[in-house]
Amino acid sequence: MNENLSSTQIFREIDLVIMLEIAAILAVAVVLIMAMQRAMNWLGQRLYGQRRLTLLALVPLLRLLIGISAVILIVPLVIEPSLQNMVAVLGTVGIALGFALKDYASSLIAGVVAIGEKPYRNGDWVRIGDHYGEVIHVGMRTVELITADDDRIVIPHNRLWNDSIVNSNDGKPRLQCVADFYLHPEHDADLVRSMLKDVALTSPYLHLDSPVMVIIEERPWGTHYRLKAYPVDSGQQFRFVTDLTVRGKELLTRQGIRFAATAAIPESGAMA
Amino acid sequence: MTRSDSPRHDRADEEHPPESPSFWSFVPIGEYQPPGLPASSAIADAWASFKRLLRKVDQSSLQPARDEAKLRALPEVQLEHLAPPIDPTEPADALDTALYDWLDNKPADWPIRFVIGQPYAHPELLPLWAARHGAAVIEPPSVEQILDGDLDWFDQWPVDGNPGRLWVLPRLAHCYLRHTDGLKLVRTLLARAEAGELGRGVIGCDSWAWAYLMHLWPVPHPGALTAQAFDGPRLTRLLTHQIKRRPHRRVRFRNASTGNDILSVPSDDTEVHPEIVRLAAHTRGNPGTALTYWRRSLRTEPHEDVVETSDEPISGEVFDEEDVWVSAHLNEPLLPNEADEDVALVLHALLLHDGLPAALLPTLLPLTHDGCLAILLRLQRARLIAQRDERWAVTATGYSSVRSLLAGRDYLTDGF
Repeated sequence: MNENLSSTQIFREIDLVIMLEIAAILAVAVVLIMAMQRAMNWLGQRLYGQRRLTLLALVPLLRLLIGISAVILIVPLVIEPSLQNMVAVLGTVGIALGFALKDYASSLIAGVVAIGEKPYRNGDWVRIGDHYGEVIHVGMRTVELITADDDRIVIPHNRLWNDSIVNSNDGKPRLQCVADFYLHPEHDADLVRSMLKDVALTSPYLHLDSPVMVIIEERPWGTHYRLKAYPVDSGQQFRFVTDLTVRGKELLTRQGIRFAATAAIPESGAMA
Repeated sequence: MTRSDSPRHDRADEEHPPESPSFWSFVPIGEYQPPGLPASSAIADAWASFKRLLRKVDQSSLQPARDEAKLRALPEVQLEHLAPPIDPTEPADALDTALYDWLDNKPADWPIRFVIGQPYAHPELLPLWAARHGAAVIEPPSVEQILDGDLDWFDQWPVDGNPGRLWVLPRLAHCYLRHTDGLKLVRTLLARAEAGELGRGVIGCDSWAWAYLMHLWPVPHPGALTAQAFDGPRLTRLLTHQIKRRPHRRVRFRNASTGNDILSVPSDDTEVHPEIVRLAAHTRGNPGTALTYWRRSLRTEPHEDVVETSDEPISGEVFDEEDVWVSAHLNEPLLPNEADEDVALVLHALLLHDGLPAALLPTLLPLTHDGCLAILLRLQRARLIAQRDERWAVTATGYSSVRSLLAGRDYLTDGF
C-alpha cells in the first residue's frame, strides 16, 4: 500500500494528453536535430578553412542542447517535480543503465565529455587505433570517420577512456604533411635540402604562410629526408603529399641523385 | 633617349618635385589603406554573400532589372569621351614625385626601387616612365630561358656600355614560373639587382607575384611603392578628371533605378556619392578595375540623342545637360560557390604569374592538358578570364569575385 502511495507521489498520472505532449516534444526534438544536422553539414560543404571547422564543431553541441531541452520539458510531465522525486528516479535509471547497458551508457557519457573536451570535432583528421580519417559526424554514442580509401568507420566514444586520440589539425584548417624521400648516402645534402624546399614552395597546394621544413636523418641504409609542409586545406593532404613526392622524385632523378635501394631489413636485426 | 634628353624632366633645372594630379600618389606598400564600406553597405554585401552561399548562381539575377532593360550600353565613341582608359602620364607624374629623391641618388644605398601594382591598376605606367627618363626597358625572359635558368638574359642590362644608365623592368611577374626550374633566374636577378651589380633600376611587379616572391626572397622592402588606394573622394576626382569636357555642357551620371545624381561634371558639389564609395570599396581601391566597372555600368536611352537642353542659368552661363544612366547592378561575372579545387588552382596560378599561356598550365599544376583547357574554356565563358597577349588572365570585372574565392579558401592573396 505504501509502495503504491509513494509511486503515485513520484509519477504523475499519465493520460492521453500528456502522452501526446511527450510524443510532440520528442518529434519536434528529432526533427530539429535532423534539420540542424542537415543544414549545418550542407552549409559546411560550402565553407572553407576555419569557418567550416567552427561551424561543423557546433553540430554535436547544438544536438546536446536540443536533447537536454527535450528531457527538461518531458520529465516534469512524467514526474512530480521535486528534488526527492528527481533523485529517486534518476538514481534508479542510472543504476539500471549501469548494470544493463554499461558500455552503451559509457559511450553516451564519453560523447558528452567529447563535446566538452573536444578531442575531435567535425572536420578534424584523427587517428584512433589503426584508423585515420576525417571526422564527419560526432554522434551521441559514436564518432564516424571517412578514411582516404572512402571507408566509413564508426567508433564508440568510450575509446576515449583508454585509447589515445591523435588529432592532426585540432580544429584548425592547417595540417602538417610529410613527404619521405630515401636516398643513397653519397650526395650533397645541402643541395638536396634546398631542392626539396623548392619542391614544396612550387606546389600549388602549399599554404605559403606556414613553415616548410626538411628534416634529415642518417640511417644504416642511406639518408632519410622528411619534407614537412602544410597544404592550403586539410582535405588536400593526400594530393599534396602525392604532388610533393612526384615532383621531388622527378627533380632528384634529373639531378642525378640516387635513391636508397636496400632491401627492407628490420633495423634491430640488421646486424644479426 | 637618355635622361638628359628629356625636356620635360630635365632634373638639372628642377628644384622641387614635379606636381602630380592630387588623386594619384605613390606610397610605401605598408601604407596602402584599402577603402572601407559604410556600415549599411557592409551589412548589405555580407547578406548578399550569405544569400549566394544558400543558392546556386541564378543566371537570371545577372540580367539587368526590368526598367533598365530599355537602356543600352554606351557606344565606344561616347565611352571614350566619358570614361576613357587611364592616361599613364598621370600616375607617371606621381611616380616622379615619389622617386624624386631617389633619382637624385638619395638614398644611395637603394640601387633599385620596386613599384607594385594591383592587376589593371596602371598597366602602361612603367614603359612610359622609362621612356620619359630615357631608361633602358628590360624585356622579360622567354619561358625557355626561365626554365633553363639562362643567365645570358642579363646581357640586356646596360651595365657594360653605360653603367650609369637607368633601367626599368616593367613585369617581374613574367620573370619566374612556380616550378622547381622556374625560380633560379628570378632569385639571381633579385640578388644581383639588390646588391647593385646591375646598376640603378626600377622593377615593376604585379601585387600577386610580389606576394609569392616575398616567400622566395624574404628580404624586407620598405621602399617598395604602390599607388595609394582610390577611396570614394579619390575615385570621384578620377572619374571627374577622366571626362573629356566640352564647353557649356554638363554631364549628369544618374542612377538608372532611382534617377538620383551620382556624379555631375562640372559641379560645385564636393560630396561623394555613396555609390562611388561602394564602388571604391568593392574594387579595394584599384582604379583600373573601378574604371572598368564604371564603363560597363554606363547606359544611354535607345534611339535618342542623349542631349537634353536646360535653360537654367548656372554660374551665369547656360549649360546643356547630358544624362548618362548608371546601371544599379555591378553586372560582374560570379563564380559558383561550388567551383571545384582545380578551378581554384588554375585561377591562383593565373594571378600569381600575371597571366599564363595555356600550354604552361599542365607544367605548373598537377592537371592534364585537356583538364586545364576545359577549365579555361569554362572560365572564359563565365567572363572570368580572357586571353591577353597570348596569356590567359583574370578579367578586370572577374577579379573581385576570383579574389574573394581564393581568399575564402585560404590561398595566398596579394597584400591589398
